[in-house]
Amino acid sequence: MRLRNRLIVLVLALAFLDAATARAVDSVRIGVSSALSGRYAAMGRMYADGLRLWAKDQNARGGILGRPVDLVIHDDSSSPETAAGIYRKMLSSGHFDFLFGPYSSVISKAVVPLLEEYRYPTLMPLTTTETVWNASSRYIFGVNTPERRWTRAVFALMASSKIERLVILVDKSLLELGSPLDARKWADRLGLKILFLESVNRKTPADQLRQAQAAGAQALVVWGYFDDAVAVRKALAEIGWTPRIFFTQVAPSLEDYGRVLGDLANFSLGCGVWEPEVARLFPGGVEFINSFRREYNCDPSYHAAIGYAAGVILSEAISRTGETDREKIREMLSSLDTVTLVGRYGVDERGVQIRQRPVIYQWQNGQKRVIWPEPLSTAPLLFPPESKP
Amino acid sequence: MSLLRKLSIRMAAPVLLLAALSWLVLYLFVVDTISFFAHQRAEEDLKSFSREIFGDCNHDFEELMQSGKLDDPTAVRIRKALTMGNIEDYLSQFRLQGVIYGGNGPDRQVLMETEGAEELATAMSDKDNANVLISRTIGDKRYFAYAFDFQPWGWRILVAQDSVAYTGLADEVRRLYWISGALLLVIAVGLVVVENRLLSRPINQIMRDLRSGTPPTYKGVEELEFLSTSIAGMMLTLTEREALLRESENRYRTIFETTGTAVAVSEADTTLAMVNTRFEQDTGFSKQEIEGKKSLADFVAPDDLDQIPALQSMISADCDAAPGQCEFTLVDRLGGHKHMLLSAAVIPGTTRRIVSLMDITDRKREELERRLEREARAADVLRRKNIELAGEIAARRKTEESLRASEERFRAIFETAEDSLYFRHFCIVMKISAESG
Repeated sequence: MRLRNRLIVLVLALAFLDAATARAVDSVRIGVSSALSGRYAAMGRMYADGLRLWAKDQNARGGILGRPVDLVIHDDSSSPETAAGIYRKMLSSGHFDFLFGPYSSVISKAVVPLLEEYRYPTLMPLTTTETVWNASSRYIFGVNTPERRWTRAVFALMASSKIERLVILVDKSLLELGSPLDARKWADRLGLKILFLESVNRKTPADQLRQAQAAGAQALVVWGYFDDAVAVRKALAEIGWTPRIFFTQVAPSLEDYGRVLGDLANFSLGCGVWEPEVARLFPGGVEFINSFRREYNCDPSYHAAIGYAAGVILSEAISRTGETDREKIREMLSSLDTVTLVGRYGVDERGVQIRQRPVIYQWQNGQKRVIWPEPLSTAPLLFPPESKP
Repeated sequence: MSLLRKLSIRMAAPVLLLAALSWLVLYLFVVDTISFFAHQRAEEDLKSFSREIFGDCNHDFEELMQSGKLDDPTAVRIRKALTMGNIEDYLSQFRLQGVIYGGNGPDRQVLMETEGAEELATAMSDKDNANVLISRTIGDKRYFAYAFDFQPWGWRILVAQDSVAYTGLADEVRRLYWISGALLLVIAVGLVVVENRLLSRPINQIMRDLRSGTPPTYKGVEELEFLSTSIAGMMLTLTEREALLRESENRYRTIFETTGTAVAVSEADTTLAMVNTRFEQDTGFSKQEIEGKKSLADFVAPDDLDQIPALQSMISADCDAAPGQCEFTLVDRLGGHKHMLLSAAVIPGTTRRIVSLMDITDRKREELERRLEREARAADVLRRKNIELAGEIAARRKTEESLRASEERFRAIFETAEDSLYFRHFCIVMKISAESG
C-alpha cells in the first residue's frame, strides 16, 4: 500500500511539474534590471514603467506570436555590480528568452560582457555612450541616440546662439567612460572654446561654478544625471550666476526636475531622443502618452518612451522572424529598419544606433518645449533675461 | 646531394616539380585576377560612396544657400560642421576612413579625419590625387582611397577603405593556396615515403643481396621480383661459367707451365707479360726479372740481330702478315747460345700474342752433323769422280796427241800430194788441197 501511494504521489507530482513547465514555455519570458532605487531611480523607474506598459499593451494585443509576454523587472539599486549579478543570474538560469539592457551607460558597461558571453541578443534602450560597444560586440543593440550626436546637437545650438566660451562638468562615472564624446572636436569645429572640462563636484559645486564664471564662461554644460543637474542648478542660484545657456544631459526630461527646482528649472536645456511634444510625429506616440498617463497618472519622460519602444522593436523582430531563436533574432535586430514611437530604429555593424536623431528641449514657464532641431521645434530658444550675451 | 641520388626522390621529383610549377602559375594567375577585380570593385565602391557624400554636401550647401545665410559666417560654420558630422556618421556606418582637407596647396589643412585616419591624412595630403583610385600602405594596413573636391566649400574629401574589405577573397585564396601548398608538400613527402617503401626498399634489398654477393631473393612487386629472379639466374650462370673458366684457366695454366717449351705472353709492344718456368730455365732469368721488363729482342744473339725486325713483326699485334715461325739464337743469362724456334699467335680478342720458343739446338746440331756427313760423302764421290775424270782426261789427252800426230801426218801427206785431193762428205767438199785450189 505504501509503495502504491508513493507511486500515485510521484505521478501527480510529475503531472503538475509538466503543467507548470508547459505554462512557462508558453510565455515569452523577458528579464530586465533597472534602477528602481538609488541614484538613477528617477530615470530607472520611468524606464521600467515604459517596459511594463509595453508588456501590458502587447499582451492585450495577444502577446508575441500568440504567446503572452512575461516581463520580469529586477532592481539593481543603481549599482553596476548588483546589475551584473542580476544579469548573470538571469542568463545562467536559462529561464529567460530575452533580456533588455539596464538603465545608464555606466551599468550597461558592466553588463554587456555577460550578454556577449551568453549570446543574448539584447536591446539597450538607454545606453548612449558608444564606448560600451567594442569592435567585437555582436549581441547588443542600441535604441537611443548615441551620445556623440547629442554633443553635436548641443554644441551646434550653442554656436548658433553666439556662444563662444563654455565649461563642461561631467559625472565622474561618465567621465571614466569617455563622456562627453567628441566634445573638444565639436567645440573646435563650431568655434567654441571649452574653458575647462572636469568631473563635477556634486556635493559642493559652487567653487567650480565660481571658477567658470570667473573664466568668462557663457554656457555651462552638466553631463550627468538627475542629482548632478539639480545640485548644480541650485548652486548656480546660490552664487548668483546665470549663464546664458545651462544645459544638462538627462534631468530636464523628467517632470521631477520642475517639481524639485520650481522656477529654477526654467531656461534649463536638456537633450533626449523624444519628448511628448514630438510624440505626434511618430506612429503610436500619442496612444503611448495617453496610455501612460492613464496608467501612471503622469507624463512619460523619454526613458519611458524608449523603454516602451524597445518592447515594440523586440516584438517586431520576433514577429518578423516567426520564432524566438536568439541567433535569428540577433540577425533580425542587426538588419531591422523600423519606425517606433520614438523614431527610426537601425543599427550599424556593431549594433550602435544610427537612425535616431536627438531633440533639445528647454524648460520655459514650467514646461518643456522642443527648441531643436528646427523642423521639430515648438518654441524658440530663450535666454535668461539676467544673463549677459 | 646524396638525397638527390635517392631513387624515390628522383622518381617523385618530376611529378612534384610539375605540380609545384602548375600550383605556382595557377596561384599567380588567380591571385592576380582576384586582385584586379578587387581593385575595380574598390574603385566602384569608393566612387559610389564619394557620390553620396558629395550629394550630402551639396544638399547642405543648397539648404544653406536657400536660407539666405551664405554670408553669415556663423551659419556657414555650423552648417559645415554639421555636414562634417554627417560625413563622419556616413563613414562610420560603412566602416570607412575619411579626411576632409580645406584650402589649397601648402595652405591645405585637415579639417576632419575619422578615428585612426591620422596617418592616412598625412600620407595623402601632399598628393594631387583627386578622382583617381589610390592604393596606399600605411603602417600594417593597406588602403584603397578616392578623393574628390567639393568646390563650394573648398573641400577635398578623401574616402578610404581598408583593403581587407576587398582583398578578403584574395587573402582567402592565398590562405587556401598555402594550405594546398602544405598539402602538396605532405603529398610529396608521402609520395617519397610510399615510393621509398614500394620501390627503394625492394631495390635496396636486391642491392644488399648483390653487395653481399648472394643472388637476390626479393618477392613482392612483380616487376622487381622478375628483376631479382633474373639477376639471380644470371649470377648463377656467371658462377657456373666462372667455375668453368677457372677450370679452363687452370688447365691452360698447367699446359702453359708443363708444355715442355718456353712459352711467353707478349704485349703489343713486345714486352713479355708472362713467361713459364721453362722460359725461365731457357733464359736463366726469373719471372720477376722478365715479366713486364724485358722484351724478346733482349734475348736475341748479336749474330741474329738482323732477325729482330722479323721477330718484332711476328710478335707485334698489328702485324697479321707475320710468319708463323722463325728461328733465332737465344743468348741466356750466362751467355750461352741456344737455337730457338719461335712460334707466335694472336690471342683472340686481345692485342697480346702467345709466343712459344722451342729449343732446337740439338736438332740443329744433328742437322749440321747430317749435313757435314752428307757433304763428306759427296766430297768423296766427287773425289772419286775427279780421279776417274782425271784418268779419262789423261786417256783422252793421249788419244788426242795420237790423233794430232796422225792428223799432222795425214796433213803432210795431203799437202804434199801431187794430186788434187778433196774430201767429200755428203756431196759437200770439205777440204780442198792446195793443188786443187
